[in-house]
Amino acid sequence: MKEYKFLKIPAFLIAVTCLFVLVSNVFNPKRPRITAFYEEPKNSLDVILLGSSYMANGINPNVLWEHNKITSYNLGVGSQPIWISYFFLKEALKYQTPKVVVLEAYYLHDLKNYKKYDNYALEATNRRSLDQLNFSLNKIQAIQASVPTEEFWDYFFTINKYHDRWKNLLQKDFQINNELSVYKGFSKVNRTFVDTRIEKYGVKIENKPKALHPKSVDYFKKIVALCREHNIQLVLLKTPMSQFVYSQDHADTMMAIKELANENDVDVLDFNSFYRNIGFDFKKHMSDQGGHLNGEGTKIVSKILGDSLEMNYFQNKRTKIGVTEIWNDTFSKYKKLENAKWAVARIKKSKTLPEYLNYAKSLDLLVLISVLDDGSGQYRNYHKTFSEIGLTSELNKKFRWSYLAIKNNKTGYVKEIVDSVAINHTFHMGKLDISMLSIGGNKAGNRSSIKINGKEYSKNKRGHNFVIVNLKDETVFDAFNVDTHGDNKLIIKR
Amino acid sequence: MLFNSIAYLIYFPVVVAVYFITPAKYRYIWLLISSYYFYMSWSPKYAVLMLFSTLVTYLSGVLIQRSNLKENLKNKEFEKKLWVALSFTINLGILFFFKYFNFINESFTSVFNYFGMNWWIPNFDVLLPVGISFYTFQALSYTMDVYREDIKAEHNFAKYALFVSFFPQLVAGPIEKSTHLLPQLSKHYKFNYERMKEGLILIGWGLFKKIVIADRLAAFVNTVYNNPNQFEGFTLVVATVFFSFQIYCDFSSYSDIAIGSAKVMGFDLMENFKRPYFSKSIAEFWRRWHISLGGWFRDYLYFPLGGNRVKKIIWYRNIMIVFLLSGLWHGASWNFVIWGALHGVFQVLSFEFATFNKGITKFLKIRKNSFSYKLYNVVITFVLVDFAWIFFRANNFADTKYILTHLFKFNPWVFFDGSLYNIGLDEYDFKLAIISILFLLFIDLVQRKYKLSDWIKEQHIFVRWGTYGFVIFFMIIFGYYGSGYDATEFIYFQF
Repeated sequence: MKEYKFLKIPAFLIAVTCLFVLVSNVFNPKRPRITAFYEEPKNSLDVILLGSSYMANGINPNVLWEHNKITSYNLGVGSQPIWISYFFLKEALKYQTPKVVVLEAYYLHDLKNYKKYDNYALEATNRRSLDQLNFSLNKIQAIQASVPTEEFWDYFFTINKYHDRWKNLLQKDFQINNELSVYKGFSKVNRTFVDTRIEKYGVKIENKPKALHPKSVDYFKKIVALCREHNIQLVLLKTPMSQFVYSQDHADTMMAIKELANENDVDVLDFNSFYRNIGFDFKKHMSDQGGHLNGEGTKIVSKILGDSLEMNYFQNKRTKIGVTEIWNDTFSKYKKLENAKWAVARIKKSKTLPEYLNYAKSLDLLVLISVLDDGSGQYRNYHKTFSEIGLTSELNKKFRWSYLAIKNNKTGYVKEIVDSVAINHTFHMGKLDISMLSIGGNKAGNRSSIKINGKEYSKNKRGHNFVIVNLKDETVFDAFNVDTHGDNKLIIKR
Repeated sequence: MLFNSIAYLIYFPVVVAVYFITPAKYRYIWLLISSYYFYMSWSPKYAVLMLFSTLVTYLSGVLIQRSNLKENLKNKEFEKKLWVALSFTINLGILFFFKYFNFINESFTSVFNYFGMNWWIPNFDVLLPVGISFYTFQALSYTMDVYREDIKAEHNFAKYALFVSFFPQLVAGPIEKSTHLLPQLSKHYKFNYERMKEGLILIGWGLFKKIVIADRLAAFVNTVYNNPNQFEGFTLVVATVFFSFQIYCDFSSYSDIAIGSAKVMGFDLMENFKRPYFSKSIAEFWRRWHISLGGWFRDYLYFPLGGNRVKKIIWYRNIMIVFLLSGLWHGASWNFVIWGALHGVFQVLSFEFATFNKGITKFLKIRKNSFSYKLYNVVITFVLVDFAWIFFRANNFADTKYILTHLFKFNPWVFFDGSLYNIGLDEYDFKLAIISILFLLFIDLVQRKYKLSDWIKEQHIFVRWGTYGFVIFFMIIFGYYGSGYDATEFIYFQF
């Protein structure tokens, strides 16, 4: 019995440790963009993309797949120093056997910041990267290399930093496993940066090489050695960067980087030296003055990188059959998501109802309609617009009748109620309690109401009152009115 | 090293493991090394000071014992008193120099300035050695106990040095009497699973009070008390009530961790807090609050002064002396002196009006053992204690004055308009603070009749493990700690 008693201590400690790991994981803010890397099928990637935000939003693995059938994952993280890139690569090589590693070169430049913080990056920068790594010896080494000794435990036990998040934990925090990533680490920015300072839309010419930070050089050499050990070709990438962010210092440091690359048999792809020849335009293809690319810019740069990789390292390449299917499937999901994003961008800009409903067709939306006073548009032919989306009640023949409609774009479900008296309709859907009311002007009334979880969203104006719910997250996406009694242009009024 | 630090989480198990592996007769050496390591992790140079105090009191013991052997009664008494006087003078001299010199000096400067004269002695730029008030008092109790022949002098210097520096209670008590702790250092304790469990439960409860309650309340209290001019009325009241629980949790947690740590190794340290906020009078409060310090003053000051077996006026004088010095012991500032004086005055008044009180209760036919009468006394005592805490916590006189003049502004809307949620704690943290205070009171209340650790012991393994796990993870998640936040040092370290 006594021996049994002493077994209880280790058993209890093991139970507490397991629970501790689980709880730490829940509280650690998730960045599935990076952690989903662990879900990639083993040894399925041809290329690993590493670096800072310029990599993260610069290279789109789906473009590489679409044009070159190259499988890749983008592990770029904002402001990531080279030493963390090294440990990211080590981590990646536990699961993958890539032929090529592409390292974005900007953070080999960062001299001032590392000097300022005594050879370390800022805490936020470190956390973005280090907290995403699974627990392992590699993670411990990464922490040791990246933070001062006295801060080690703070990164080792992430709960120390994040336990205060109990106030705002979300459902997603409790999801332990990631789904297979569709974007493969790529982070797209959809806006175009415009500035009046025209002279800034150019690049600096390299003058004389400028010394690099010794810690960066050290870890760059470690990356080179690691790649050699695994028979991997290392490619240094410099995305196009104008003078908004790229100073003469940067250009001169780039010269030193190129020399370093040359000494170590590393290939360099510097877009600043040929961006004009590939149709890249700083005025059209940047998302901010920090030098990040926008969607269009990314497409151009990714395509050139893909072609270059294919030509130099992947001629006559064949992807494994299982992997091809997975990537084709992911690519179609990617396309669907991109189309949906495109439609969302357009739908919000739509001015008239026909335009709006046309874009809405391709999105997973729930359309709720309630008419106030009259929606018949008696003397005008509106019903075509509605019948095109499956609403077939001939309301145009029912002057001043009440009318409610529900249309689920995802399932195709349609329900319409038309009556000469007031109509009430209540239903539940997921987490939503929806109650609708329409009172046409035929009988005394004139009211429209669409309440979701007790909150009123109807504009309560003459004609059709719309409330649009996004079925993905069950939130109200839009609410507007169209005067289907008097407005023959069917203008949307929010 | 702090008890609520990762360093202690590693240090303590290592010390315990080596302690039980080491042959019993050498264990005190291991504990001595560990204790000095523990102390030197704050500042190595102050260990020399502690060693010096140890040496002085050690010698005083040996010399007093030697004088005891003398046959000439007159000489004997004279010598003994001489050694005691020397030991007290040297130790209190050190304490005075490090803790009170600047305070007295500044007070003189103010007085001289007031009369338009110059005071020429500059302040010393020294840092108060951690725990100096605690170990000095403990060492002096040894000199006194040997003098009174309550205990024989300890000739093994290392063992005696361990008595002064025993790490669990070194920096914040309980202040042990030599008659209680010193003999334990020579005993051989075998590892005992049940005892270890009890010790760990106590450590866990202590950490809970410190991390979840005290440090959370501190965020609110510090915001208000560091800028009292921005607040008034009920906000000041809430801050003061919060402080009373902060200091209770802070200090009692330290004692619990100390007692628990010692218990794991087999040692028994005295209870230091016994549900003080359920006291029905100020006198009772002092029998329940910082019991070891109260005991020290009682045995080595109050009784020698004559205690209460003297004329009433002398008795009151004795009370006032004890409480003024107790206030001064807590800190070298007039705030603490006033705080001590208030407690003294409360007691004198309660004794003075005892007969009157008795008459009133008799006249109104109040049953003294009724719940409401007891509750009334508990509330009144808490209000008085809480009022005195204002002097204890306020940073300076100007703040104290401001708080006293703005405390009674009637602004009950602060409870409803959310303004309490912007003072160091957000709404979640504020509500959690309230819940944890209620939980603390509930546990204290339950502990009157049942010992919680006994209750846990009797439960099914799932309930036991569930309870331990719950407490551990409650602390991890809801504890007020983490980077960007300096774990506030245990308040009592500087006293």
